[in-house]
Amino acid sequence: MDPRRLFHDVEPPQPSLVWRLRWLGTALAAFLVVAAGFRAGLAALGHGPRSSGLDAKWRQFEARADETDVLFLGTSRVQRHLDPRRMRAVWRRRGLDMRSYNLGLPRMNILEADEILKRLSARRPRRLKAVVLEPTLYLFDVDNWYGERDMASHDWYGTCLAVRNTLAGERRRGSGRCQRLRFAWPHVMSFFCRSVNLGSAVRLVFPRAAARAAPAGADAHDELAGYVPLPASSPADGVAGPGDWRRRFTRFLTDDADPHWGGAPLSDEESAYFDDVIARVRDLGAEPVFLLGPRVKRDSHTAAVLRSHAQRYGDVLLLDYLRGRGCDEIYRLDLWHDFDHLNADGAALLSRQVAGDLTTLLRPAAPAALVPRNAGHVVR
Amino acid sequence: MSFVELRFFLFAAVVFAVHWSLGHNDARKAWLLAVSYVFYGAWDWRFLSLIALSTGLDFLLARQIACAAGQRRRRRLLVVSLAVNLGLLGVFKYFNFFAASAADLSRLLGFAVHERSLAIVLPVGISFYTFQSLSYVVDVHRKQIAATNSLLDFALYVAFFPQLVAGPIVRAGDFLPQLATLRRFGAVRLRPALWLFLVGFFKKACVSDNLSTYVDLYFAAPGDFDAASACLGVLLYAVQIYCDFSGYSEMGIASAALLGYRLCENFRHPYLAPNLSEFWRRWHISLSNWLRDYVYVPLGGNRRGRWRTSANVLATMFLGGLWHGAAWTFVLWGTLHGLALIVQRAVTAWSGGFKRYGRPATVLGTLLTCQWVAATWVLFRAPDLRSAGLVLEAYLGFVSHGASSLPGVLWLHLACLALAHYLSCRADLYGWASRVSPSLFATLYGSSVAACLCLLPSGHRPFIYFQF
Repeated sequence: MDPRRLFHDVEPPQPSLVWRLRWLGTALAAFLVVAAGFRAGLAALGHGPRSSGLDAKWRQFEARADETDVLFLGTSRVQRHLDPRRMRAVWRRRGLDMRSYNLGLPRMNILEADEILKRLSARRPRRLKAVVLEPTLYLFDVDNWYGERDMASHDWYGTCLAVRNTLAGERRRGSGRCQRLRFAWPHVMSFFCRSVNLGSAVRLVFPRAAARAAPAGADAHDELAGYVPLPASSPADGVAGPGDWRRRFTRFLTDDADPHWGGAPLSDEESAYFDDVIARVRDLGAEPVFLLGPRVKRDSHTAAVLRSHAQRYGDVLLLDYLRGRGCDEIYRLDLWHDFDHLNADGAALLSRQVAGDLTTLLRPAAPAALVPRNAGHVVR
Repeated sequence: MSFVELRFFLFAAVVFAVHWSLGHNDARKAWLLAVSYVFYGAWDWRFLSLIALSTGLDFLLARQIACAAGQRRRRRLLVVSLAVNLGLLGVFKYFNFFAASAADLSRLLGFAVHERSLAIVLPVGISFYTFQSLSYVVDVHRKQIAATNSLLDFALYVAFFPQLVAGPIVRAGDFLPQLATLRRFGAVRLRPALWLFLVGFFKKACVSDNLSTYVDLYFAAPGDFDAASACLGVLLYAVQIYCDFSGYSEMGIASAALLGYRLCENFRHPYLAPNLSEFWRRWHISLSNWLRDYVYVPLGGNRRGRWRTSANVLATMFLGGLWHGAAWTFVLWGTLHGLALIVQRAVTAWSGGFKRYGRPATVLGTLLTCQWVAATWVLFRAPDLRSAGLVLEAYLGFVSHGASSLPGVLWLHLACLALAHYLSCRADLYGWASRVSPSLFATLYGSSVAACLCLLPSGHRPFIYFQF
């Protein structure tokens, strides 16, 4: 269109502020009514917000739910580190016929973990004996709040839970008000995006194109019972520049030989979340297990979990592979893929270790005696 | 920051509120300059120094040119401006391309050379603001406009955020006079401006971004798809690039209008053009006009005989191709368009043009033009000439390279979009927006925003033209 038409030749009389506000109100009301209508219509057509990654993984798990004894929940540090096939081999050698499933997802947050627990409660897997949970779940992503996945988890309950935990976590870390708001804001925005149906009709109008490698990839994924290995990275990867993880890795290992894991415990809100998780896992007839996987650098949340475990969750088994706490053979550069993740060799070593450490819990003889309630029990 | 991000809307709300609350023209301009630099700095603040350099230098040189007495001195100053501006463009955009091409040529001639490349990040919008700044100096040199005495005005002309990173390429003669007077809110037709912004938003965010999923899938492995999908992939890219760029331009024009400033038109239903020269009068109009006024006409235009005219067309389109990107695919794209324009001129001269054969001939001309334009867009999208060849073989020869296919429903989408393109040309949507009652407009606007949000894909996709 000709931009000249965006201007009056002769300035007309201007409407009053009241009329302008009235029109603004009309537009807003129309927006809300249509958004609500779309929401109802899309929900009826099955196009509500959903986390396709979590749904796909859950579908795969569901097919094996009743033969699973141990379930792993967590972020990519779980997904990339724990190989159920290797664990099964270890358990077989020790005379246990056990299977596990890796339900780890990159950036899994507490809301997704909550959703999985809800589904587990509804599904109630018959043989489930333990739910190994990473208590340092990913909580926020300041820059990524409008993805399908973020919107799927941020219903009213989820948003309140996330905001409460984020604010509590930041308060514990001594963050200022601005910092707290900065981290809580994305959750509110995710809720807002969900409320206005952001992108809800995309798949209805623009169907997903069949990915060429999807079927083969999906099968391979499931063969590994949810585990997704990382290859050994080439020594040439990212060697130059300040982002070279190898240099950081080596520096942390040499300069900071024994990281200090002390610090404030989890806040009341965070503890309440974990109390709820523990209760729900036990309600399934399984035992909760906390997993603190290999980590090069100290972070305040992990330190808080350690402190709280000693003070509050003594009856929950803690599998602790943090640096400086006994499992040092895993902290070798050749076993790591990047600064945060082990490669397939490292994952194999860790999986064997975890399987061995879990054996005490899983042995059918007298699990209650091996893991006495209200008594600190830390493996490693 | 781009026009479809939430932070842009927050940014715009603050910018508009402060802009219209300021009562003094200089204060408004200073505010707009500051926020334009913030807008640009949101990508990479380091490149602000490049804009500042280009702005300061061209402002001083233009003033020197205006004051200079002799023609030789004026020309020398112009050459300095051209050398610095094109030098910056050359270093940041073309250095690696020319270095790699020279190395390839040397190797072809049998010399062993060590190829050198620099790790240069292309500053967003450098081609746009460089051309804009250059045109001002050239216009002053030609005495078409007077050199401005206000550095603030000139800096705002170069950096005005609605057109800074992807055009339209505004002329100083159009924009600087607007800065001289205090803009009045009452002069802005709010409803057409808001509607234009929403249409641009819909084109970019709801059409272009959603189609990019399929286009990316096809162009990632064109050898895996059947012939129908090849046609679909190529045609969808033609729609994607149009919606992406015209959507951005419309949002820019509407944003500027909401601030009281008029930018130039950049697209006028290009896919309804009955021939290629008409297409170039409708597609990226500000660039076409720039190339016409600062390259084609100075080369002699069509005043020096048929052969010279053809050579000028070819040279202009070659440079137009090179302006778009530092790759042989872009050069070939421009050259092919230049050749097609020459052929079209010859055919028109011989046959007397399509129009004399009536409406069916015009429709045929439109279809042929679309076909040609869509086929040449392949060179825009394909990563190299080999892939482009593969896609063109599938598209033009209807050859299936593989068995994969894109969803068939996309043909329906394509038909709907073509119909919408045609109807938007026939119907006066913007006139309608001013005519309906404000309450009805508010209701429709609120509903349309709600509908647009449902079609917004997750994740952010940058504008295609940002890379240029």
